[in-house]
Amino acid sequence: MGTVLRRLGHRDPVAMARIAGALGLESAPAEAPQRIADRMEAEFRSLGMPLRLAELGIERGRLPQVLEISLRNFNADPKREFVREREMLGELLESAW
Amino acid sequence: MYSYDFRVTGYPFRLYSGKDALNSLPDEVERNRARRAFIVCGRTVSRKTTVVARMRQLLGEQLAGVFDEIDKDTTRSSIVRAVAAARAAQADLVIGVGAGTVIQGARIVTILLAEKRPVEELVTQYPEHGPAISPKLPEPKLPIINVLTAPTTAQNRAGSRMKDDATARGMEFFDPKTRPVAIFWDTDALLTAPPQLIRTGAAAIYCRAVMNLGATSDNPLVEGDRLQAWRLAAGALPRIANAADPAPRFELCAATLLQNRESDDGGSQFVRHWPMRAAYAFSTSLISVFRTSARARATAR
Repeated sequence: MGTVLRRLGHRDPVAMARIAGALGLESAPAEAPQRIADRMEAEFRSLGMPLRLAELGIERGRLPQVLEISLRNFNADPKREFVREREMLGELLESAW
Repeated sequence: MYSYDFRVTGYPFRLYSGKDALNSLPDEVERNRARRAFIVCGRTVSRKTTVVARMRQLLGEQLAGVFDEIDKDTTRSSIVRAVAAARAAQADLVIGVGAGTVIQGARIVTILLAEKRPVEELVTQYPEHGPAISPKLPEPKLPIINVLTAPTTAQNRAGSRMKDDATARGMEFFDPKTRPVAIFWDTDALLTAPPQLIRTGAAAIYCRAVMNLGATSDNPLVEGDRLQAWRLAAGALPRIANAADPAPRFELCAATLLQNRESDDGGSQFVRHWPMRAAYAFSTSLISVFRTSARARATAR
């Protein structure tokens, strides 16, 4: 989640500002995604939860398959915008691994 | 600023919560004029906990049968066997006992008991271009009671998913008539889930609650539920490691119910900003790939 927030949060600055505000994180709007990501990762780390896909036992070679299935998720992408962002989403998955 | 353009949909159900909540199960079965209740669950909850044995004792002659082999992927083969068992028992009410996948499995059992068309004609279709199409499933369904062993948004929703054994493809159903008539949050039942399962679920609930705080267009009904869902999830998270404490489990059950209520009140099941959309798509894809790999490894062994 942290990787996704840091990489894509700037696309929805109002939403990020609202989340940061609700969490009590005072920050400049541009820094909100980073601050939210830091907070969530701290919460998960305190529970002993993995933060990277590699820690979940996901093989790096399976990431292209994960990407292809992700591109067809209608609930997440009702306007079919993901296909145009294939390269970026692929890089994002690699970053999260 | 609020948006006043919205639609609210209400679905009646009774919620029984707390210590010995399950003691009200016989009355609830009776209230629904059922005489042949049928339990659908997984092996672990049936064979390694006392929940189902307790329900057998409570229901007595009201219980027509138990199918306890729904697997964790809700495979089509396990659902087909459950349907056959429920039909043979002449079930007139289905009780799902478990977490999300079993609760969804119970819904599919009622759909397949009632609908007459082939399964492939009942599932949601995903055209290459355009929105998903969920066929109307017109036949009346048996009433459903859900007994939770872990917090889940599946507790009172209408969507369900099973996995085709042969292709590993997900098959999704949507039928508002599979919303439950009653939900049970019973202390002992909730304490049966292992902490690791609760931890994973809690992280997902918390994640969604935080991301939903980013909604930029609220109607006046949903804001309170959204904030309270987040407060409950955030408050429960640090306490879930204590396997003997039911309180955080109840609070997570409440958080998920509020998340569903937000959706029914014209809000969103999940708010569609880019980080949430990508995280949701990746996570559902990872679950699909990961489970398929794990099953292949298990089969190879």
